[in-house]
Order: sequence, then structure tokens, then C-alpha cells
Amino acid sequence: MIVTKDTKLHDVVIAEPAIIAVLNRFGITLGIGDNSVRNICEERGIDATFFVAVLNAFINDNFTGCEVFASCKPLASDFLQRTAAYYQRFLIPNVEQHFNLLIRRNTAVNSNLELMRNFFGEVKSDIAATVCAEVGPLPCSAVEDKLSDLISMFVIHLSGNYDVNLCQAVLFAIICLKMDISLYNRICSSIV
Amino acid sequence: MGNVNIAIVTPSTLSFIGVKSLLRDLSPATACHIADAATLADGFELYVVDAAVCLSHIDFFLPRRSKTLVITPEPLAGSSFAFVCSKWDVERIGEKIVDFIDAQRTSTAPQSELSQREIEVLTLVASGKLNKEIADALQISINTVLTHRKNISSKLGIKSVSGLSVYAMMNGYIR
Repeated sequence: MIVTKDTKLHDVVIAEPAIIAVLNRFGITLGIGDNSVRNICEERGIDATFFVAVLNAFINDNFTGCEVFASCKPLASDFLQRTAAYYQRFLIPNVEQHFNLLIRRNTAVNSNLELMRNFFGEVKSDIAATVCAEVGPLPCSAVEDKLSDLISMFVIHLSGNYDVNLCQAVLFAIICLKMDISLYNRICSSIV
Repeated sequence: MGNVNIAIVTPSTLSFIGVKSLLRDLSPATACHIADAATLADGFELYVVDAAVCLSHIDFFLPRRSKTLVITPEPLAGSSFAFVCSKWDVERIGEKIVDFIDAQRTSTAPQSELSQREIEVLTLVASGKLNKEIADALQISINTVLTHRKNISSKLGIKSVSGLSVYAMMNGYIR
């Protein structure tokens, strides 16, 4: 899907629900109505060109319009700062809460889940050292790789007993974080 | 359960006869007796192995964990190996063997299963060795190490060293 200023924002959310977390950082929450991207940006004082580029960079791995970020560097830097704070306040705790619940609710011991939770702990430290570092935004491809590895561990290699629903919840939380980190890296690489 | 090529690895002829008899009742299986574990070889769909032999040849059985069923005198608590306890009744042992073979057949693991050499490389990578050190330890070139690493990551979908370490721990290749 390619987003333009005339695209209805709800169509974007329905096509890629994980984008809600990105919209939150622009002050947009659910109940967005039947408005185009252009209208919503005008109402909220958001730079529509930058906003459209962010949405496309999130949705499309091969998005080629990243030069927009370099030309809107202050906006991009501000967005990255809000993104780093968002990871610490919402996305990382979201994964942790689900992981902890999954392991607590497990009736049988599954040491693999413990190992995977520890691995996520390492990813969290990496995010703190790069994304949330005070020296400014730093690309973190290693974090992206590790999140991909964690996703593979769930999807390909998970064994033993576990709560299926909670496990899927952990996986979706990690996938959302990974997509977000990919967006972060794309913007970061364009402006650093 | 279809015809299965099974190695029964035990020095005890009596144990072999017992397991073979049980397997015959369960399904058409080709059971081969390996009394001397020094002659262990690949090519079997399932290894039913005496616990002591498994322990003394752990380097052989660990990488083949997914198709190894250990016969133990007592239940194995916390082990990564599947087992049948020799104290169980015949029905329970039979059920466990059938379940084990069914689970193995429905698993997608064979598509991504690592070769013996890849497991050796993975173990060294997970232990923090550098490519040069791995090449020296296995007496292969650095290019061959890199090829193995590429194939391992491709098969497992895991790229990072710490991710590979976690995978190695999950599968009992390192502790």
C-alpha cells in the first residue's frame, strides 16, 4: 500500500494495524473518523509530507522516499526522540508484561521461554544503549537483527508446553516493536 | 505409523529382543541391533538407546536428540531427551514410542536440521570463538567457516551471535 495525502487514514490502519503505535506519537489515537491524511494533518498541525513519508517508510520495506527525512531534519529528530521515549514507556514494557505473564501462567517448566525472555532482556539493553542514548539518535541494525532472531525462535523453533494465546500475544508485541525499530533505523540512517 | 528404520542401541541382547518385540506389535518396523556403540552410524529414523550408552556417546546423540528415545531405569527430570522408563507397563511404553515417532514425522525440523559439521561450528560460535579460532579448531579454512555460518543462519533464521547462543542452549548444544 502506498499512502498519499488523499488516502483515508482508517484504510491505512486497517491495512497495517501495527501503525497505530506510530500514529500515537503524532497524538492520533483510535476513533480517527473518515478523514483523509491531508485533513487530519491540517486539523492537528502536522506536516503532511513528513507524516506521509513516515507512514510509507513503516509499511513498505522498500520505501524509496527517505530523502524527505533529510530535508525535514528537525521534524525527524523530534520524531525519533518521541519514538525512543515511546519504546521505553510502552512497547518494551508491553513485550515484557506479556512475556512475564506467559512464563508465570505456564503450568509446565519451559526453559526455552526463560532463555528467550533473557534474550529479550539483552535486546532491551541494546535499545537503551542506542535508541535511547542521550548522545542522540543512533541507527541500531543489531537490535533489528536480534528482534528478527527472536521472532524466528518463536515461529520456527519453539517447543515444549506453553499457553498458545499468550505466546501469540508476545510474538505480536515483538513483531510490532521490530517493525517500529525498522522505521526508526530507516529515518535515523537518512538524517545521521 | 508406517515402516520405520530403527536402531536399538544397547549392549543387552535381552533388551533388544524386548524392544523389538514391542515395536513389532506396534507397527511394521525394521529394527537393527547395535550392541557396540562404537559402530553407531547415521541413516536411522529413530534411535532407541540405553541410558548409559547415551551418556557415554553424548556427542553422537545430542545432535540427534530429536530422533533419540532413551530407555532409563528412572524418569529423566529436566532432560532435553525423550525417554521411556523401563519400569513403565507395556502399554505406556508403547504409547510413548508411537507418540514420539508421530511427533517426529509431523515436525518440520528435518528441513532445517543442521549437519554434524554445522552443529560443531554453531557450538563454537555460541561459545564466543572467532572465525579464525573456529577454523583452527576444526582444521578448515576461514572461508569454509563463513560458508557454514551463512548456512546455519539461513537454516535457523537466526543471524546474531547471541541469538545463535540462545538457540544452542535451547537445543542442549551448550550449557
